[in-house]
Amino acid sequence: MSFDDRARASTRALLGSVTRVDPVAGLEDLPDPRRRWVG
Amino acid sequence: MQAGRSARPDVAALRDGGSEVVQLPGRFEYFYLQEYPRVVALAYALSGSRAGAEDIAQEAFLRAYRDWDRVGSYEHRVAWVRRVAANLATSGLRRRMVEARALMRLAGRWEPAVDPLPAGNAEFWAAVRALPSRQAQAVALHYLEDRSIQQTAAVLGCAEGTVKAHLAKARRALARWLRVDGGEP
Repeated sequence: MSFDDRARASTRALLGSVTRVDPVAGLEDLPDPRRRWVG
Repeated sequence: MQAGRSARPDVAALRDGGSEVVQLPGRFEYFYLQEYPRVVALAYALSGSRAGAEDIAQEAFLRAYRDWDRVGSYEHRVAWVRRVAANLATSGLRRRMVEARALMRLAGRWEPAVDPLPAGNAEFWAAVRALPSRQAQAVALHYLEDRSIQQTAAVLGCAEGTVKAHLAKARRALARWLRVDGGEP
């Protein structure tokens, strides 16, 4: 296997590892930046 | 949290497929929803921490929001949030602080949303993390983000020639460590 093949396969695997990450849930878990930094 | 039960109308509309959309997400929310998974992946690649990757990304987005008006255009913000996440992920002390918070937060949960990698792929990214931090960041951005030399330089805030040198050194080292051909670009 070449370096580029290995890099591409590992990249695909890493992107696959975050498919359960839910940006909507993440946004809701984010401390409200307005509350945190304004005032 | 259950799907479609968001307390935020903008978020609920997105989750429900938009059939009753009455409100578009704000600029920050849109930016966050578009970019968050990729930034988590970048943080995971460079930190190796399933528990900490989301918190590193969250920290980067919070900082982006704080400086929202100064950060500039959408493309600039895309680069900016990645630079912050990459620096957090490769800075030992700051990464450990974020990871400690993540582990406290995850106490009692099943597991992080980030899945473990198969052994061979985990070995590749562990080798990337063993590189000097700027080389590791260049490799992650170039491969994981599929970014050009020019785009990678913009994220890292350095010259294109510097990125080329980082990538060339990194490829040689990784090919040697991983015992694969093709370390020369």
